[in-house]
Amino acid sequence: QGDGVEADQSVESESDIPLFFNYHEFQETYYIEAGSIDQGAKEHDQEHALVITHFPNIYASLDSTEWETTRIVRISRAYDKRVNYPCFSEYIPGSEPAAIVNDTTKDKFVCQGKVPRDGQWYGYSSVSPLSLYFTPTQFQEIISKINQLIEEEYKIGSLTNIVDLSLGVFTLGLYTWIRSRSAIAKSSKLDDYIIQLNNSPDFKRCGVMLIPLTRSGYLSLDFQVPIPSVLGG
Amino acid sequence: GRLRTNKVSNGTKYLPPTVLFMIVVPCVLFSIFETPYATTRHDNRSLIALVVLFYYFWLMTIISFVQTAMSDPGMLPRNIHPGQWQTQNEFSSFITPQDYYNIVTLPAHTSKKNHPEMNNSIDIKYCKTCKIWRPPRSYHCPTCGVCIQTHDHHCIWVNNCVGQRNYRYFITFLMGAISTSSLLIITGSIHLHRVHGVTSRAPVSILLIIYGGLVIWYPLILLLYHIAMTATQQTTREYLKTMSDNSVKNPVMHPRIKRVPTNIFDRGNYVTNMFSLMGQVRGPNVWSPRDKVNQTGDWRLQEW
Ligand SMILES: CCCCCCCCCCCCCCCC(=O)O
Ligand SMILES: [Zn+2]
Ligand SMILES: [Zn+2]
Repeated sequence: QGDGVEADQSVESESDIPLFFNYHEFQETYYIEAGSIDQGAKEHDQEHALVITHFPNIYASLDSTEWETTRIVRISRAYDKRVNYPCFSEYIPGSEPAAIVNDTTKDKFVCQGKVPRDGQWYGYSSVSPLSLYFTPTQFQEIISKINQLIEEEYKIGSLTNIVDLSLGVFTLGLYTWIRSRSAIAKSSKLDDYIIQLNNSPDFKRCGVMLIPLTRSGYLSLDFQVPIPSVLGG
Repeated sequence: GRLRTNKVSNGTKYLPPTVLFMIVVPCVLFSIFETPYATTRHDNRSLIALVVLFYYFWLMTIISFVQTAMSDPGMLPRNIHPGQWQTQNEFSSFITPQDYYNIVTLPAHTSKKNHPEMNNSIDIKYCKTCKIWRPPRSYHCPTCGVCIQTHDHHCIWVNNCVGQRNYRYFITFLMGAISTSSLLIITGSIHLHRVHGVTSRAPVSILLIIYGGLVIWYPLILLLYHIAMTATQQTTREYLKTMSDNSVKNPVMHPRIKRVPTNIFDRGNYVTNMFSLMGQVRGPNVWSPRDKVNQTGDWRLQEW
């Protein structure tokens, strides 16, 4: 468990090659089944565990409407692409090589059980509520653009970094100080792209929002999505 | 100034002012005794050039010292990845699932291909204190109470961590301190030579030569270490970890700074390695406690 081969241990056991998966997700076996809400919560076996694919919206304060009505889907960093600076997984959650799969739900999120501990609905697979709003291709296009913009920001050989480094040292920090106050330093193509996405009709219509990376510390790429629920749940 | 909780231990809180004092005092003596001597002797332009160089490197030393001490070393925000929010009890709180206590091994990219028989993988860990999945090379500093990106070490002399966002200032400080001390020795020696070695005619020059000769060693040894460690693509923390794993008792007296075959960050070349750490991109400040957005409900500032 948790060693990257959790999806299908029998197939992978002959080699030690770790497989990529979304390390944010975990499983929960004590829950209320969607079909039998009146029977209450009970313990299930590992085969029928719920997969926690969405998380509390820590970008909203406890007393806000956002906290009550939205959840966060976290996209992991893809270390198989880059290790030196951030790069996020282009797999829509549920399609990773070591994702937990479930034949009955396939590639759309379905509320299959409610965890009494936090009162949230989850499904039996790694497929997250994001699947309701994006196709794998749309998702891949967005993330790949973001990864490209991050690369421009973090590339060590970039002109910005070389100039900042050399002039910064030789002018005794004066260059860095002036630059940090200039308009170029304050504008970020990455921020602009995320703002543009959040203002796009597609995002607005679904109520989906991308959290700016400076807020999540580039630790994960966080999508704010409407809270998943079933009628009467 | 910075708004953050820094649990300064009483024993070390006088160290940064002490270093500042050690930088300022020789400059005052130099300005009183060496600068007038050099500038009144118009026959020697090279001595004046050395005096100018002294002030340049002295400024470099003091500015980079302040930058190392005061700038963000690369603090990561807290509470970005809590597991679940428990609403059952009267006291709601975050719950960390058992899975988050495991070390996760994931496939990793490496630019070094000299060990094709080995799987390139990376271990990542969850910081239970900060409630975040930490990126590689980040560590939690117990003194600062946060996780720091590309953490090198916590420096008690500057009372700050040295990490991704201030490593270049730290290296500049070491280079500045070495250059300043060297210039103290050189200008003092020239002065002494000009007075035909009569020590009573240049007593402060003697004092400054001795001072320069004493304080140069610590930054010099540190810089040599950092050159060797970065060339082999290691941070101080990673180097000390490797040493303790190989049960080397005293890594300072018996240094064994070698490349680690399993190091996926190794770029296969000493110069590229050194530049990739000393010149690493600082990246944006992701903590910015001073930004007024959502101050009251900001989870990033909470400690649980
Ligand atoms: C005239 C120049 C004087 C320079 C004075 C140098 C005083 C030496 C203090 C060095 C502090 C270096 C910080 C080391 C950090 C660490 O590794 O813990
Ligand atoms: Zn931490
Ligand atoms: Zn620290």
